[in-house]
Amino acid sequence: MINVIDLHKTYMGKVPTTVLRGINIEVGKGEFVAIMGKSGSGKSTLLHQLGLFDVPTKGEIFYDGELVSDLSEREKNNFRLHKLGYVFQEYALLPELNVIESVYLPLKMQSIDQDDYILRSKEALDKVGLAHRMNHMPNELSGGEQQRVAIARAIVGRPKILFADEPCANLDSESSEMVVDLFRKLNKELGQTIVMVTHEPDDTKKVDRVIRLKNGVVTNEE
Amino acid sequence: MKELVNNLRISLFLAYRGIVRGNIGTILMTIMMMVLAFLNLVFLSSIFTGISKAIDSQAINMMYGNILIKPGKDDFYIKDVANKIRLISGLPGVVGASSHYVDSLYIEFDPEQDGLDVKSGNWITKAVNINEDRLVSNVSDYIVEGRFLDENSRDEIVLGRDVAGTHGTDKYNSSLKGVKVGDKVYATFSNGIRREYRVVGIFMSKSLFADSMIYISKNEYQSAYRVNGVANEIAVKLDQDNLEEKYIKIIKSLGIDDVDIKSWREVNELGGGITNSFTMIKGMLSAIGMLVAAVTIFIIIFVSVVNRRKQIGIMKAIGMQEEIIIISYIWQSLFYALCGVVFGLIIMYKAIIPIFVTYPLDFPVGYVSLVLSNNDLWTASIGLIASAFIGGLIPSLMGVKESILKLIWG
Repeated sequence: MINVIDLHKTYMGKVPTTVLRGINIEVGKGEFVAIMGKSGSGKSTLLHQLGLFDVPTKGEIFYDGELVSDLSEREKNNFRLHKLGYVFQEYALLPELNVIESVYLPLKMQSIDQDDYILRSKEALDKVGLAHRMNHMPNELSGGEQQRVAIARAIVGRPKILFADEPCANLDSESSEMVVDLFRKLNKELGQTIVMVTHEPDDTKKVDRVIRLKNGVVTNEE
Repeated sequence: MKELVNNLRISLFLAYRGIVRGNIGTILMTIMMMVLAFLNLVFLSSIFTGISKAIDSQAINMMYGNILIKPGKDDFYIKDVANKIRLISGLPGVVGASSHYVDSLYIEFDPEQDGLDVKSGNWITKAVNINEDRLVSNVSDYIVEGRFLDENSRDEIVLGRDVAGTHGTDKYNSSLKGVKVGDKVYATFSNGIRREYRVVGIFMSKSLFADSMIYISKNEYQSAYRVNGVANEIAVKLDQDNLEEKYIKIIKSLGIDDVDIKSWREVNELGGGITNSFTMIKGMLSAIGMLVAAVTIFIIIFVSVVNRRKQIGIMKAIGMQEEIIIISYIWQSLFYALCGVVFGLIIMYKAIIPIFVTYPLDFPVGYVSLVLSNNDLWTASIGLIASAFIGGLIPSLMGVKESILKLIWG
């Protein structure tokens, strides 16, 4: 599904900083993969390249054989909208949209009919256990609930791959466990491919595979 | 096309949600600023238009009528005046026509009657038929002391306040420095004939021109010059303004072709120059006002974009096209501008204009009410909306052009 070949990323500045130094990884369909490593190891940078938020300095990224690292900004936006889902570390909701509006926004952008996008949004909220909170505003939800709304928004478009960038970093342990369990459930029940950056050693028990990074290179896959 | 329509719908959805669920205080403050920006544009325009209208109105009602007929190229007088007045007055839409003799009288005033401190000067003088002229001119409405001439007036003279030197005229002006009703003055016509007149009235119209004039009856001029049945000019008053060109053609079609017929605009060179100057000043102030409005909206949207960098980054990250984000900000800007126009118009028409109509401004050029012309109204409205468009476009464009990583993580 994802094929990363010799990926490099150097941030240019007064002092150029090389963060990724030739990453080669593959993620198969339906896999739940964790990317782990110490702070500064390049795991978030790798996720940004995979999520098409950034342009690699060198190397190629393929999705189902399609080279995506060379797409234009507009094509990348379309690709993210239709094929990728993303859960951020922060509760990345728009403050002026209520729960169901936050969830159906990507579907509206895909020109899906109103009846359909509302139905699918309710289903997505049901999956994350928040169907009863769909008319609430983000500031009326706990951190864990907001993160689950963000997950519902990420999965509502039925993406090929779901990326999560330390989704539990700002959550208490109970909410963290709930979120990771939710990912596991989505992976098992829907066959959702998930790539998650995490610090938590406990999370390794719930994923199919762990890719460990150190100084911008893959040191271990287990 | 379908994508464009959908993008417009989503941007409208985001803008609507942003407004209805935004901070009510911020929204009201923004709308208030837009209202003030709009009022700033139309208020100044209205004052200048009001001044121009006042000057134009003075030119029509006190000086020239709507149409001024002067002698033909080689003539000193218009001939066959009675017949011309009869023909023109009979036209539908013509309120009246009045023939005038125009002369420059040298006036002397000796307050102590001792020949030691004689005040004097030359002033344009109109000799009028009172019955004809009251249909055309409203100078008689502005008498502030005494009375106007009547049909039996002989040896009587009416002075503008700038001639009399009273009623607030600048004391350094050349004037007779304090003539009162009942005083005697001596007038020397251009042909040298000198007569004594009794001042029966002083008028103050605040017109730039009329208040420096003198009125005597037509009979006085005719006896001084031994003429009859002629005139130096005929002023024609219409029941509607802006129909001058049409009536000039009609008057010519009556066979009145031995004269020079012009609209008041053509003869009002000085007044026209002043109103043109006001129009230019108005245009410059409007341009500055619009720039201020555009900068205001720019700052509002810019602050909003800066505060919402992370949200913009999230929107881009979930696959939203840049134009949706930009257009949503433009919708918001347009909403604020539209509110500014609508509430500004309500305040203008329901409060400010009625107040100024009831209590006109006492300007040196006359009493000035606010006049909001359609042209100024559209200029201000479209200008504000265009400013809002630009003020919404530029900061949002600057915002969305940043990378997702910079927007979300700084």
